[in-house]
Amino acid sequence: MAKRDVIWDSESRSKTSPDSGIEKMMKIRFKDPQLPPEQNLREKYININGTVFQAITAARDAFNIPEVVPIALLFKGRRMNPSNSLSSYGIEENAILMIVPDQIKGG
Amino acid sequence: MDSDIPSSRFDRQERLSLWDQKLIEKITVLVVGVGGTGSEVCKNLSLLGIGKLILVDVDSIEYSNLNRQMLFSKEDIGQNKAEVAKVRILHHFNPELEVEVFPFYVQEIPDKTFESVDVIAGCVDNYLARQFLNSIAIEHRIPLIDSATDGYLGQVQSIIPFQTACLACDNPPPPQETQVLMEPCSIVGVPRSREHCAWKALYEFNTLFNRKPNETEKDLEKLTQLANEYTERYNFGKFERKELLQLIMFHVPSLITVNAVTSGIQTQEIIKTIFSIKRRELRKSERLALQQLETLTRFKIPSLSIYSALTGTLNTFDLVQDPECTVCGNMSNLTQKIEKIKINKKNSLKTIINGFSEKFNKEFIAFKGNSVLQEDRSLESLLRDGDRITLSSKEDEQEFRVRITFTPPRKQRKKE
Repeated sequence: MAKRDVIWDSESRSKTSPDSGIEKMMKIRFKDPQLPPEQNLREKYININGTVFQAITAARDAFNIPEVVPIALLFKGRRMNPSNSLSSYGIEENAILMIVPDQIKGG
Repeated sequence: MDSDIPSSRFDRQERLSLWDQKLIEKITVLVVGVGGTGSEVCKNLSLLGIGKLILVDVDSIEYSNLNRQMLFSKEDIGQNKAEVAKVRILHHFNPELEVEVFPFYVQEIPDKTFESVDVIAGCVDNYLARQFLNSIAIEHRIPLIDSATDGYLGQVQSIIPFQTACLACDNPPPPQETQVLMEPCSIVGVPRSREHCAWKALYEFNTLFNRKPNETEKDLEKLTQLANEYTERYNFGKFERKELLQLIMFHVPSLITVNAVTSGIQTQEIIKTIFSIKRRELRKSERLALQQLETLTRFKIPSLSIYSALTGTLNTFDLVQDPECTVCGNMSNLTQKIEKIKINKKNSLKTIINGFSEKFNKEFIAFKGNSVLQEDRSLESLLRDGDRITLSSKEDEQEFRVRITFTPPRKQRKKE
C-alpha cells in the first residue's frame, strides 16, 4: 500500500484519488496469531475501495513482515484473494483480518 | 503367558476413551507423497495399527532426503520411495499391515483405487498434485487431510468434502514456479533476464521428459546444458549447477522436527476424522464419549492448523466453503452426472473426442486430472479400465466427465 493510503483524513473520512476513484478510509485491525496476545493486534487505516493486495502490504507494514515472506489474510474463515477488492468481502469498521503464512508447499 | 502382561501391542492406546482399535484396523488410508511428512505419517499410521496403507510416490530417494526421511538410508539412494517405504514399514513397524504401492504420479493411479479409500493423507510437495488430490477427494467424497511444510513452518488442512473449505476455495494463487509451468506462453520468446533462461530450461525439460527434474547428476547436467544454451544465445552469464539447483528445483528448507510435529498433527486429525465420519461403526461406549465431547465442544477437527517452530505456536482456524468454488461450490462440475462410455482400448482418444465434437458441434480437449491427454494416442496407453476423464470445450465453459470402460477384445466377446 502506498504511504498516502494509510494517512487518516479526519476531516472528511473520504477523498477523491486521481487514479482509483473514491478513497474511503476505514480502521481495521490486523492480527498475527504467532505473536503473544498483547502484541498480536495492530490497527491500520486502509482504503476500503482498494485491493486485498494493498491490505496485505499494510499488514506487512504494521508488523514489519518482509516482502520475501509470503502471507495471506483471512476474514471470517475466507482466504482473501489479493486481486479482489476489499469491499467485496463486506469488511466493516474494526474488522479483524488474520495474517497467516502463505505458499507453504513442501512435502 | 502371565495374565498381567497386556495381550495386545495396542494396549496403551486402547485404554483411551474414544478409541476403537477394531475400527482403526478396518480403515484404508491413501498416503500420497512418501517424503519428509509422508514417511512420518506412514510410520505413525502403521504403529497405530491402521488396516491398509496405499502409498503413492514417483520420486527416487536422494542423498539430501536422509536428514529427515527416516524410512530411508544411504543404500536406498536411487530407489523408489514408495517401494522402499513398504519394505521398511513391514519390517520395522507392523508386519501385519496390508500395503499397496504405486510408484507413479498420483495423476496416473487407476481411478478405481479411490473406491476403497476411507481417508486421503496429502503429503505432496507441489501445487498441481495438491489441487489434483483435492478434486479427487471432492469427487469421491473422501476426507482429505493435507499437510505442507516450509522451513520452520508446518500446516495441516482438513477437507471434509462439501462441509469445509477445500484447497481450491477462494482461488489460492499458485506459487511462481507453477505459474511458469501452467502458463508456458510467459516463457516463450526472447528471455528478458538470466532467470528467464532457467525457467525456459525447466519448461523444456518438462516437455522433453514429461516429468520434473530429479536431484541427480544426469538431470542437473541436462538442465544446466539447456539453461546455458539460452544464456549463451542471449548473452547472459553462464549458470553453475549449484545456482541453477537453488533457483529452479524449489526444494524448500526442511527440518525433521517440523516434519515430525506436522505429521503428528496430520495423523491425529486423520484418526479423529475416522472416528467422526465412521461414528456409526464405533463401539457404543465410544460413540457416547464422542457425543459428549462434541456437546461440550471438546472435540473439533480444525480446518487449518499452522505450527511455527520459531515461536512454538500452534494456531487453528476455521475455513468456510467458498460458494463460488469451481471444485466444491455451485460452479463445480464434480457434482454433475458422469457419462459412461464403453470402448475398445485399442482406439485412440480422438474417437471419443470426435464423437463429442460431432454431437455438440464444437471442439473438445481431454484432461485426466490437470494433465492434457494427447488425442492421437491409444486409450490403453493413456488410461486404465474405469478411469475418468474430463472433456472441456475449447470454445466455452462446457465440460463433461466421462468414465471409460474397456470392452473385451472381439475374440473374447464371441466366447462370452
